[in-house]
Amino acid sequence: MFVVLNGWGMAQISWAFFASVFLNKAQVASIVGYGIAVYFMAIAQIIGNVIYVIPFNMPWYYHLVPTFSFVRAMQHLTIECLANSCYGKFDDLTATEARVSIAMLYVHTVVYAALAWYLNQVVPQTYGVPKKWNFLWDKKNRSGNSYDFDEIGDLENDRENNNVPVFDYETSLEDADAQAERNIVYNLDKADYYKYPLIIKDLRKEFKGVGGRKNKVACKNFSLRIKKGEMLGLLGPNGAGKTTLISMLTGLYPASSGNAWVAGFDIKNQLDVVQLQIGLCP
Amino acid sequence: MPYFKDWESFNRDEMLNKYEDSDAFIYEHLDNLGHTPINFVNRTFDDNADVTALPDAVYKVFEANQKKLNYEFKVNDHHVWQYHRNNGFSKITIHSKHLDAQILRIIEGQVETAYTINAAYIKQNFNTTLVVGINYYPFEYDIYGLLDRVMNVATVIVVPICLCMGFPIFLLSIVTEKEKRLLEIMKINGMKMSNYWMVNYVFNYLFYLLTVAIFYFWGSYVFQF
Repeated sequence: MFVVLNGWGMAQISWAFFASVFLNKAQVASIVGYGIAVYFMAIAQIIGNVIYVIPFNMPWYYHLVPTFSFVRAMQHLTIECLANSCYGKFDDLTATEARVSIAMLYVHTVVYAALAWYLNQVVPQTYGVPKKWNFLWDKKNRSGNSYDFDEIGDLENDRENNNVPVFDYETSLEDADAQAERNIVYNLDKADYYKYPLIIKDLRKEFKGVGGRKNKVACKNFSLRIKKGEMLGLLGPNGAGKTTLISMLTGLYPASSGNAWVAGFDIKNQLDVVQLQIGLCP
Repeated sequence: MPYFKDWESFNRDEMLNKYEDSDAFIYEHLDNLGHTPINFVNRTFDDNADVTALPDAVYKVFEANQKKLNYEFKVNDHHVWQYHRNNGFSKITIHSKHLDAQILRIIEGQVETAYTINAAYIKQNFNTTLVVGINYYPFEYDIYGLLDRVMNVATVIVVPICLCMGFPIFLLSIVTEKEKRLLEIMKINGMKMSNYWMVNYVFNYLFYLLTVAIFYFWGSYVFQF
């Protein structure tokens, strides 16, 4: 009995993790959650108690849903309790289907947990930066606690090799000190990046236009370098892109283009290491 | 059935004074009572006021002298207990530790009806006291076993339904953290996702275990007869 109840609890939690990947609104989640729980349970009861009554076996595909396996296992236990004597151990189980049902609960636990773990990192959510679908095999993008020097400087190479235009506006409109800062960032040696707490290079964020409107540029093209021990206050009028910049640096939203390095780790591929280096009070 | 109407007006207007009295009508129609559907609308069986007008049994005596007693009787044998008065012989009220109910004993009522008039006749003519009783076959009535079975059948339906209600809660807690940006803020402040999932899993599992423990406690200690 405990084996069944334990398996059901674990399968349920894994299932909830899995379902949470596809839901972003709490209200929807509660409706969907109750819907799944109640409807599957009703169907399982009807299938188990009316259609495939115990001497008959349920078709295998019903075991793909944890609820069906659980209800089936409970029915087997109860009927054995009524007919003969209650089961004490797993070895006492005589019906193959009862064994299959209980085993399936644990299989569900593992499978749904694994699916939830993978999909949670891949499926884009409202907030956060999703990983690529092949992040498990793609060694280049695998994040680790090491400096990835190959990645640094790709932007310059890319620009030089493919003749990509750098700016979508006149650089001459920039202030002199902003241009100087940009020059410093461009001329930094990539091997020195780890010496700086923060380097931002050409960071840009465009929010997608809704309803056929144009994309909204929140942060045009931001370059900045902060030295060790330096304290920086970011000032600007409403809508200047201050929050967007911080959100990009902390991984709340993915950047449209450009990159930034926090303590030498870049926010595109080593975000989880970056998040260990920062503190944020929203 | 006209029992519940004003008898005199019924006999006069509808039956055209066919019957001498209400007993004659009832005797003729008592068979029908068992097949008449009860109209439960606008009826309160609690006070059972109109049912008290029903006879429990009726006799029709054809011949009665010192040599011969010829009679017919009918007992109200309607299968719905609301159609019986609390008369003590075909409907018995029981107040006991396990049961607080009113049960129908039609067969005992029929035997009792015949016995009453037979015993009186024999006492009158032969000065002999007759005692009649009913003994059923001594099959043990295993009320505990029956209750156990009922509980088991209820269990297989009720317990899974109750235990599946944790799922929406688990789902809601995760999605709420996601929707309110709590998850991202925790991530930004350096939380490892593996720890997050682990703690969520353990918390939800303990939550579920608490439910199971409550079920187990009630099943083991409270619902014991």
